[in-house]
Amino acid sequence: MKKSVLEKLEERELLELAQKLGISVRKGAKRPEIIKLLQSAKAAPAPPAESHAHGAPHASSEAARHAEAGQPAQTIQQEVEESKFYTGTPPEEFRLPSELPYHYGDDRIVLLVRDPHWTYSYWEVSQKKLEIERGNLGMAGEDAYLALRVYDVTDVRFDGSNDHGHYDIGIYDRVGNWYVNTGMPGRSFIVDLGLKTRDGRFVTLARSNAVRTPRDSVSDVLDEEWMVPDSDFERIFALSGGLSALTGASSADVRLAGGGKLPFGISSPGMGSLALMSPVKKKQRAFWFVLNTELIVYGATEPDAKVSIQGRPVTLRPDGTFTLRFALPDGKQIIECSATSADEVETRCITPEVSRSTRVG
Amino acid sequence: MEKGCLSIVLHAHLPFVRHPEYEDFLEEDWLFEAISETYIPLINVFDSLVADNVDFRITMSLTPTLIAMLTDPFLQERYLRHITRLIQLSESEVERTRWQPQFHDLARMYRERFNNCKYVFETKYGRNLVSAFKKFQDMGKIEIITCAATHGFLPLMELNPNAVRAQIAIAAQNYEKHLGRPPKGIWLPECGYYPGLEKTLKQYGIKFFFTDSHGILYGSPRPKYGVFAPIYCPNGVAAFGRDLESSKQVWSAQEGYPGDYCYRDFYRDIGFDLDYDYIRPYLHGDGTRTNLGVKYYQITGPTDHKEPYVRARALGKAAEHAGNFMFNREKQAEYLFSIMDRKPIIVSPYDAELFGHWWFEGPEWLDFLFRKLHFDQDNIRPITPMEYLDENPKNQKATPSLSSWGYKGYAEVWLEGSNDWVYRHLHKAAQRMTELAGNNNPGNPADGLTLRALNQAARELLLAQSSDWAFIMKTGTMVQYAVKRTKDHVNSFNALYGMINEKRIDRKFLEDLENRDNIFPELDYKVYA
Repeated sequence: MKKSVLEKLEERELLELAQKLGISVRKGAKRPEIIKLLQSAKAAPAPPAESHAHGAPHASSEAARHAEAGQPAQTIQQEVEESKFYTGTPPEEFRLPSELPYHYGDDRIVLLVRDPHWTYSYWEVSQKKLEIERGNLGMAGEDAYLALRVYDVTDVRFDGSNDHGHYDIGIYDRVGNWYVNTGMPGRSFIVDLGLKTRDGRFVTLARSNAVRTPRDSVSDVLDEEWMVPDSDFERIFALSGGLSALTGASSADVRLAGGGKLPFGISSPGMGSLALMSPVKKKQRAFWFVLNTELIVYGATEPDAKVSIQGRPVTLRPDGTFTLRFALPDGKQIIECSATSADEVETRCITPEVSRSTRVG
Repeated sequence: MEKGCLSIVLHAHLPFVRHPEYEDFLEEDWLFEAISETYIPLINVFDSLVADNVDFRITMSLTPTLIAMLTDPFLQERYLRHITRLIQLSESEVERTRWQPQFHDLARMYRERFNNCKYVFETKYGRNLVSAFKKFQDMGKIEIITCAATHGFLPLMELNPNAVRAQIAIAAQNYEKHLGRPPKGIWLPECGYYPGLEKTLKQYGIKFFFTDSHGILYGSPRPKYGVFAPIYCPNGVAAFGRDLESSKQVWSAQEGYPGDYCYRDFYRDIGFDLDYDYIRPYLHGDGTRTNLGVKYYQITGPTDHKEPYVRARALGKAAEHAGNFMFNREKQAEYLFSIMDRKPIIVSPYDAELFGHWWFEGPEWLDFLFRKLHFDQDNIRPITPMEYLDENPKNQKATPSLSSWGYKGYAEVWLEGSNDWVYRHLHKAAQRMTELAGNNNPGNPADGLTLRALNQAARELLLAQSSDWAFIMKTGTMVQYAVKRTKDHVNSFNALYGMINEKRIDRKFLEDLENRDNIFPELDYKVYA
């Protein structure tokens, strides 16, 4: 993207463009910074914008995070700097890196199931592989862009062309991830990471594993041996979703007719043991003030004397001192204290009286 | 007349947290709090039910990570240090509250509880609480089931079958070592099931597992009895489905029992309420205020003004709630029995740590429930899944549907913006572990140091795979710790991988890892081959 073109755009338009292109921009970034980011994006040929329709870029995509940290560039820089101090001998002690590898040098794409409607894929392809494949495409390779091709391979042994249908999603990063909204429960999918030319050719760089999204409704497959009238199953099904069928209160929510869907929302707990171990309380008010009073009673006598406060024995420290601490409520406290010598010849009594009254307002 | 069966399932789990490299460590409190507030109170309930001849049945998972911590001498020693401090604190609380009768009674209650914890832990069960649970299993009162080795969320691990197999194999081995027989059942981490997982379970002799309701209901062929009877997977392993109604009565934020205004409030803790100088000696090294486990208030209502907790009233409420739960299960069983041609089983699973730690009166609720079930009715009978299968060996064959008991019912809790980055690394490490196991096969055995490095690499991979880290990243508390644990384990794994391949193992690095991440000393890396 030409700088002159970008400079004509408003900050808001620049941000929109960046978003469209999947470039993450830090919060509070100013125009020159965004323009710089957009310019650097031109290195990767842009896929047609509409091809994003089938998925959602993720705010925390690998590439985005690393871009924020300026990581790939920094790694090389670091390497160069570190090499200045490299004498050929291994370091004395092994030190664990604090960050994870950015990639593993593979050409690989993996597909995971998130739920009946969404899958998640992550991938990486080496720069070398990318260059070779671009080269193989000749002229068309120069502005070919990276894309994901999502195949519906339900019940077929996929050979690269016998799918029930496919669509493409343009992507930017050779190391990245994407949530793919297949929108089709109970179907199987494979995703290819490939290079797509402007004239529509697609070259596969890596092929994912196959996954099957789960059904999100009751199965149509019936077992003759375990048949049950629909009406009975509806009742069982409703009960499986709660006692609502008994009370007749909201059985509509759980009827088969409603698509066989369950009224979730209590699904676990959402808590789990760990949330139970360290829950966080929601703050209910903005301003608050609490005040409490405590009374400290302390004293000293001969280390072998016997001391009691309000009739209860007190443990002395080795030097004959002692300290007691009481929460002090409103009202009057009569604190009878006595000390008796070890030979029980002498006793002294001291009785402080303390009263607390509180005004609030 | 008996109309049905009730299976209460408690899932006891904590991730492996053990940091001998620090003098004390905040996250180790998870274990200590769970011991004092959940595991020991449950053991006390079981002991008192046995003493009073109340026949009861509970199915309880003890995850391999939890077993590893409960049997670890270092953590046992730290627990004693922890509970000894709490006893001191409760003693000064008894003094401090002398002029406030309501608080004073509670302070005495805590002093008694903490002393009891120390007695049960140290004297009664010789520091090993696993032996306590084993005792009840040997009596036939509880059925202990296992869980994946480090609570890895298996549907997101399916890509690496060897890694899934290792999670199950190591769990079964750990179970047998500590409980003296192989496990019959398993609690799949987060109830995460994918079709085909049963093959691995069967390989290790596991006969049953649980799924969330929709795992069974959306199974194929359509399950005739919904969640009220188990189904057999095509290979004969049984799957039991969660009953939503009984879950809701306990879990629901609006209607659940634990939210009752009479019950103890979790958040009002003296760690935050009292004078800093006074509680400072009981806080962690950095002096940040944390919960200390002494709490004096009841939930009271949707208000910040809290009334003092009244123990007797709360216990009355727990008895009332136990009666209500039983009544609802009886009605449910009666109705189901009228439309089913067999006795239904109602499966009610909960996180064990809900009882006591979060819901303070939860253990007493269980105590009341089993006493009422035993003495007050004969419509429903407490049962374990294994007993139900023995009594009802003929069940429908069907394959459950991919599911979990997490929010929305699938994998989203552990696969979303905050945590999806971990899978690239976990999968790669699993792949590399399989590769290492293949390279160092019986024909090419590993020597001493390499062998240790290989076993430790497997431990690092397993620890990185705990679903707990992804869960914490999503929920937003202690995130830094979870991120650091993930990175440290993956990086340690990758470092060992490199050293093993280059045949240049850093002994000190390896030993440090062995000392800290000492889980599963019996582990054999060849399980990944």
